[in-house]
Amino acid sequence: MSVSGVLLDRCSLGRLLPMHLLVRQDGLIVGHGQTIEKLINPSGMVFDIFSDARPHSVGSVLDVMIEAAKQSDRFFLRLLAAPQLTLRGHAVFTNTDEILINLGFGIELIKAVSRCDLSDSDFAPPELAMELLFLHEANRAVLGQLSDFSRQLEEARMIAEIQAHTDALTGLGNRRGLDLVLSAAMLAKHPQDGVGDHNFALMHLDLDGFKQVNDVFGHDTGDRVLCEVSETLKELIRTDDFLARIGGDEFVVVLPGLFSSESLHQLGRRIIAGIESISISTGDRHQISASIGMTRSSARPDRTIPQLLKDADTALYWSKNNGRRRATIFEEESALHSGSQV
Amino acid sequence: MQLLVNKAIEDFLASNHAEILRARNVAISNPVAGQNWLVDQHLLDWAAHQTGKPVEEMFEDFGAWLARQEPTRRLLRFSGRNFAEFVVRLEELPGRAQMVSENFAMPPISVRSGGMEMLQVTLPAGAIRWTALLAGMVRVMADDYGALGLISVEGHVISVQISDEEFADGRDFSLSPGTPKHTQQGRT
Repeated sequence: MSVSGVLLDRCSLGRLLPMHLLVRQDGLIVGHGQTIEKLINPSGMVFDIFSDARPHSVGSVLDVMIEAAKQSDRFFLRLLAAPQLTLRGHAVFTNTDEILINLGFGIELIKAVSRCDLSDSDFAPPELAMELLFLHEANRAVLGQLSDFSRQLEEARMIAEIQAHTDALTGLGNRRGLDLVLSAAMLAKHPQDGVGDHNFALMHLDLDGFKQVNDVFGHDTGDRVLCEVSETLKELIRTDDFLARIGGDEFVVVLPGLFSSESLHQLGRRIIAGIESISISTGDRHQISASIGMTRSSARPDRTIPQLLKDADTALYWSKNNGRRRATIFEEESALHSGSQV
Repeated sequence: MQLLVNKAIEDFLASNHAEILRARNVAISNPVAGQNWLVDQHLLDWAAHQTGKPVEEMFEDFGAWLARQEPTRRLLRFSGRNFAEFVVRLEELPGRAQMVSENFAMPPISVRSGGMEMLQVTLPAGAIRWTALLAGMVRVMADDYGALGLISVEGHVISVQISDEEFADGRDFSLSPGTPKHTQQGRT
């Protein structure tokens, strides 16, 4: 058989294909490229270095190479010394009937680079190894930054969330916060498990004489008084109670639990007394007070949130219309349970 | 990408011009998305104006700072085995940037030999800021490779004279990140 072809010396072949092996038909390695040395000791027999990486491998790794050379098919080799590394390659027969196989890394490149300490010079110039490594690293850098961004975004969102439910002046809850708490209280009122005490009382409080404070002493004093009122309220209620400022001088308290009307009236009296003890301005006898309307979820369990708020409001107006400085409990349309003046 | 660029500029200002960052106005947090960020002048231009520095100097400082950040330094080192090759392959830089993010618009860079051991890196005539930024990077990368190079900028042309490729030991670089030594002083 006459074969016309190209003759290459071993050195040129090594430079052109740094990841090649030249294998005799009996499996002995007789030549190799420069880079493959960083992965294996390219001497001896191929069976001692590689195994077939395909799942249902039959025959020896040499058969795999010969078959690939005949069929011009690709094959996959696992390094016996480093089973996590798989190389892929193809093979041809040389004029002297040796098998010339050329190997590459595929997607395992990143693993191989760190394991074998490969450098730019180890790759043949047409290979895209450097570009792949570059992209891999650029990706990591970008993703790292992006996760920083999303963490900052999440923090900002949480702060905004808290601010959205907080009254800026007093640090109490605001109208939105109140709606949330009431919705939660309403849900808890119909528990799936049917246990626990899920009643609550709602208290609506409106300051008496506050408009004059603003008019006479200015808004700075007004703001200070509002803060003092909120401090007074905080001291008089329990830590589990929810306190909101829902308007200029209107406050709402949600008190979880079941209360007797007497204990609610007692609380109302203490609150009114506390608010009346706030001094507005030194040397001035101006005083503020409060009117309170209350309702208990247990009184009529089928009410919606707006109805509850409206009933507390109705009781509040009853207090206002009956001389202020008092607390009234709304029980039914016709029955307003008013406490005595302080 | 715009986010990353803004973040880098902020970090740079935080490490080099903290007082400027404190004084910055909303302009810096309100960039128009998708704009070419060096045409979008109000970030670093504004900082230059505040410090009384020429705009080119501010961009060159930024380029130098950027090349000193470990992630950027590593990405730049992927471009060449030695400093001369790094300079020659700056031509690939816009392509690499494009590969990372399609909307990252970088002007074309061409590199020609300008005689004995002299390389000329040319950018489009209007790209003064890009030229300054690149010059800052090239200066730092010469040190990084341990090469002795004379780098001068004239308009949109950077001249690189490499007098000694192996003047000093370069900084370590391996293709595998391993345990990177971060030098991100700019992180806040």
